Amino acid sequence: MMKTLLKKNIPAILLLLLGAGLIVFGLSSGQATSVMNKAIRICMECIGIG
Amino acid sequence: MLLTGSTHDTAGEARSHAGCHRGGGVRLGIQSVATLIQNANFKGFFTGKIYTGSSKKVCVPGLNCYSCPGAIGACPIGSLQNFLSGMKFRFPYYVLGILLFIGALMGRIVCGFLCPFGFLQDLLYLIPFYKKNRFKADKYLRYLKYAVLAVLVILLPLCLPLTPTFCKFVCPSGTIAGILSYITQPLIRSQMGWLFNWKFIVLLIIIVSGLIVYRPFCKYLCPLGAFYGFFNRFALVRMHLNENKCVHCSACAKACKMNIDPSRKPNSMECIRCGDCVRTCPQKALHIGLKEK
Repeated sequence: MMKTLLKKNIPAILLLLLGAGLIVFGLSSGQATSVMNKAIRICMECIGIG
Repeated sequence: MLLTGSTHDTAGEARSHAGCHRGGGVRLGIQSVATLIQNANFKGFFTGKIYTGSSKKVCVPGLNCYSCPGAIGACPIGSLQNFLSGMKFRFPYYVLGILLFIGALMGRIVCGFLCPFGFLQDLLYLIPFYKKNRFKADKYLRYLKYAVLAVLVILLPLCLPLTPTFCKFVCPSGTIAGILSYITQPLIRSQMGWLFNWKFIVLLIIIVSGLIVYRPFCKYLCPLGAFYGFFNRFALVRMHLNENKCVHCSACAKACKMNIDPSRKPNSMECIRCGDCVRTCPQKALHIGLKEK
């Protein structure tokens, strides 16, 4: 049952693992902090000031 | 005999419509909870100040501007453009990883259940107004969102440093954030000029067309929906069609407001997984889940 489920979802599982790997690598290189630094300031372009 | 069959069909149709509305109500409930969670900084709506807590390290799954006073997370499209348009290029491992993970897990379920701007468009379409959801140009306009993703979100930010092109010229979620800032912050109000007027017109077009067409932004412009759409076919949670049960009655195609025929393409890139087809199917041949039934 579990085996069939895994077999039928190989692309999804590979992409999930790839996504998780990229998240971990991004976290280790401080990219989450970069995301936060942008997100905690008002984005002038986004709100239409430029 | 014919009369009996017809009465039975009508009763069945009425039942499936009732089921559709009940299920739609549940979805609206989930959407409102998701929107509230993603915009849980309620104090910000009154003060105009944006949230600065550590949850802003995490990208939310749907389109929700991080400059919205209520937002407690980061917008994935804004964050992606921020990396691509930086003075020094950095590959967006973290943001791309989040988008890949969410896409591989559930595809465009995000659009149907978790996206605040999708929720707003669902509410708009509920307003009684002239409706014209099926028209000839529809299938051509759908390609526009892939061009928006490729050009405005990826190419132009790569070529023009410090210019998040999509956020700057199109994103309606950012315009809503701008309107909220306009109301609460006089300093920001005084700085608004042609760009705000342009974005306001774009938002207005989206809102008015949203009264007539179901989810025009998701269908024609949303780069996030375009990205998640690539995963619909093989996402872990996807649509399954039981060919043995399907009688090709087209009830699902008629019920679909995204104008897809789920009996032919259950995992179309356009499907937002609203579940209307699943609830409408008289044979229960469609379902959304991990595995086939």
